Amino acid sequence: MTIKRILNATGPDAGSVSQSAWTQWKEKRESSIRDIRLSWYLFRKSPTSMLGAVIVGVFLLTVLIGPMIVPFPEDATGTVHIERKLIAPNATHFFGTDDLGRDIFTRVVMGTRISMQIGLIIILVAMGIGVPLGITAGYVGGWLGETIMRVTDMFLSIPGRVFALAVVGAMGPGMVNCIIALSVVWWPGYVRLVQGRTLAVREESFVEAARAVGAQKGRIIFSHILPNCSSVIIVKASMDIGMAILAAAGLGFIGLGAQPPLPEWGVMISEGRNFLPDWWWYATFPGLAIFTTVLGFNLLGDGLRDILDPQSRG
Amino acid sequence: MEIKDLALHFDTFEGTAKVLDGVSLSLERGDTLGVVGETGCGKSITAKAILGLLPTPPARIVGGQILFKGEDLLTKNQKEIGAVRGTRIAMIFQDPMTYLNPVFSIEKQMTDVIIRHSKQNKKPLNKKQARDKAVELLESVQIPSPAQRIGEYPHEFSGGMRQRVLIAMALSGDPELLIADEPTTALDVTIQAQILRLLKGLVNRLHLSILLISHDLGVVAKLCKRVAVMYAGNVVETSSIENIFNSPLHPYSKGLLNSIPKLKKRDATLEGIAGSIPSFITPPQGCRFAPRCTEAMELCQKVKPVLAQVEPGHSFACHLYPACRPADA
Amino acid sequence: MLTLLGLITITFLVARVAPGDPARAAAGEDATQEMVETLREEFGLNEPLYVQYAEYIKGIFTGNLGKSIRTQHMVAHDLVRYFPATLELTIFSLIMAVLLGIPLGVICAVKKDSMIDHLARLVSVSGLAVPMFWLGLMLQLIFSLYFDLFPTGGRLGMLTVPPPSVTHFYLIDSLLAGQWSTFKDALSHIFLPAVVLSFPALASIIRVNRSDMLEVLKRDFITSARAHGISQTRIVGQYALKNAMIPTATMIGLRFGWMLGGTILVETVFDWPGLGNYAVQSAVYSDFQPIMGATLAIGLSFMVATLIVDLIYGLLDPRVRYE
Repeated sequence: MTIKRILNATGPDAGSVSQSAWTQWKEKRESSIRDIRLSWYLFRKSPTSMLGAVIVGVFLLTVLIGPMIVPFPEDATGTVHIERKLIAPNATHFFGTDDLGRDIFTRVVMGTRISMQIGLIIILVAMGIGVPLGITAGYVGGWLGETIMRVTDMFLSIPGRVFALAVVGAMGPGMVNCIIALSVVWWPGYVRLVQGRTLAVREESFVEAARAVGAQKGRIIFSHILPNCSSVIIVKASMDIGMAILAAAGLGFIGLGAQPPLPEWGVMISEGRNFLPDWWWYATFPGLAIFTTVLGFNLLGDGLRDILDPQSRG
Repeated sequence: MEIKDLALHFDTFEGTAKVLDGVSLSLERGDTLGVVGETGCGKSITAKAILGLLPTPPARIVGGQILFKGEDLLTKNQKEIGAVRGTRIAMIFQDPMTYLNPVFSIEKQMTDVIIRHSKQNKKPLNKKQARDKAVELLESVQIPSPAQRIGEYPHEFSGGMRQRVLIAMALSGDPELLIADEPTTALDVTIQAQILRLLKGLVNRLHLSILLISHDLGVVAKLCKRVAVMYAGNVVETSSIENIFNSPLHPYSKGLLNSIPKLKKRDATLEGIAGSIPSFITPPQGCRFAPRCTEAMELCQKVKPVLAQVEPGHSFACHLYPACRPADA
Repeated sequence: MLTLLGLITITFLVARVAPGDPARAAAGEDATQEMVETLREEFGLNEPLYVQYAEYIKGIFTGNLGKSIRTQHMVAHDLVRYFPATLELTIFSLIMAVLLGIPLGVICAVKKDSMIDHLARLVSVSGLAVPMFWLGLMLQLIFSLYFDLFPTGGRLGMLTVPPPSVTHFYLIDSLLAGQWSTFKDALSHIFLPAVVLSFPALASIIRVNRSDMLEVLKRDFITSARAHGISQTRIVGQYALKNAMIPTATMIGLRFGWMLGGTILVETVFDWPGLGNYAVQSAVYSDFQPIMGATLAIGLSFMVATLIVDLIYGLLDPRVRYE
């Protein structure tokens, strides 16, 4: 009935009913709408961020549907086709074949899944350990905070790659160990970041105000501190996924990460190394894949930082 | 120096802000002119525009002239403006801490400036001579034991002393005009008084002209003989100091004076000016003060008043005075 | 200093606490239980953990870091042998990155959004994304194998005799001894690996320096200097740069640490006889004493580098000096 009334209304009242509801909602959300519009404007303005988003999008798409559309799915692991070995890139084999006759394009595409798994798990574990520790250290402070930061510093005093190498060296090669090692390397970074941010937020007046009103510690942490940290965490995480993939590939290259016949990119490059320069495609394409993927995540992270971190805005 | 109808736009994300809308000021040699107005009225921007210190991608001069001894400063290129800076016109700013380079000693900063000015004047000094001159200058602004302290860093000086150092640096090129942009705002009241006294002494001794920008009418009253009141990118009244206090003509000036707290009456109320400054992106057509003006007429919303002289040395821009209607209205 | 202790502890824990039996790994697959036991005794693995820890610390101070099963040398001996090579490579790469990176960063800040700026930003973004080992292989492919401009690996040609050791840095030693051809040979060998190793650092430095310069150039004292008429060159080159270097210096220190880690990959690709290569071989072999030793050595170098950066910081920023 109300719709009919609106439609039938004429004169100065026309549309004023629906008008006011819409305008009311708009006014209420005015500041956040403006924020989102500003963010989108900034993001759009930067071609590199858009490129990053596109690359990551393609990457994720490949992760999801890649295995279903590859030309030679059985080549992902194990099969041997000696008769097809070391063919240069052509129409059937976009990236050529390797020394066991496996289609490199297929293997690269399958590799996206592996890299995504590795990268994601590492970062999630690192965040899972690092963020709570960071918040605790920053918010509670005292000797607990001091201890946490000291331990974090100790971990950070060894260059990441070396540390990961040591861990994997002690534990033995393999994808799982590689993931564990890299998670151990990565979590201190999050502790530092989150602790610094928590410290800063804690001193902000709105936290003081909340405490003055008698808010519980837990509530303060969840509704005030965490949201303020989340933007830096997201920025760092998006860049870190790329770097984690890179690090894992590095370990794969030296033989300590994922093991053959898994189509992990680092492993493939290491295998392809023996076939330079004549059969250059073996080592080149997996490397390009790593490069593009990491580049995408880095650009995306950069773009996110420009939006989410107001301090870096001009 | 004379500023004629200066118009300046600022490009921002949300649109173009028409920040200066035809600003006109004039200053004779040995004169002291104060420019007053609330924050955001464009006085600082006008000052910076004189020496070309505004970043020109977002800022754009769209009209007007800045005449200094007959030459239009706006037509000069970078090199020519560089020749003017410090040697003919010098400038000091608001916060002496952030306006000094924290990683260089005072000696280095001063001698750099002195040597540069000396080269401009075709009488180049070497490092030692520059240092001596620097010490002299510091003495003239009453810095104690300048010869010892010259090697120190900015963070080792107090706020008042830093401002004196900046004044010394500004004077090192023997300029004819000193532009002071809120020089005392960041200092305590007692130090304020000292700095103002120092500046006044300089006017007398060196026949220096001073353009003082401030939001504080009291500060301007202490130093300047004449004052220009600015509002939202326009000059709305110029007069002598006495006239502004005794017989302000423009409704905004009247409002400003009314809002100075008077402690004489026991239950005096604090009066303010209702409303807030207009948006520069979509400024009101006509007089920019009209939305807040208690004496606004319909004409005020449509046509912008121009500055017209009421008596010698006293002009204002308001339609209460018929001469303020632009010639073609 | 506490960090040092922590470093030692962590290296120790990593090796001991990780699953896997070092004695068995050392003994090999077809060793008898007896042989494994003997090795366990030899390594002191049957002692309680804290005793092992004490032994380890004692060992560090007496220079005894254990013995490498793979090379059959004392670890300390191996470390001394391979360390200079890594140090030379890393320092050379760092110098390259800094000498190129800082001027480029400044230029980009001054000529913002110009062709050079975009190009440099492209480099800086790719620099972090590109896998170092792959870049190394690609460069080898193009420059060594196709164009034959550079050798593919090693520190010196097979027939070249190393110069008399003063600093153990071939580049410096050959110059000191006046052996020009040896110098050229060493240079041609170090060039490609240094380019690869310095690439990520170069990328970071350009980026950080550029953004620092941009930030500093907005500051008030720059306006003040301009108002005084100071020339643009001086403003950029001295006034702004010295301020911008402060955060950049910290970044350089961090990058050095990353580079030390990167030697693992680069030395492997270029057969560079350094610590990274040593660490990798040991890790593949599960030879845990050398792994610990190498990790310790690298961690220590990083610490020293950080200390140096702190000193430089004091030199740059007078506000910190008397604290």
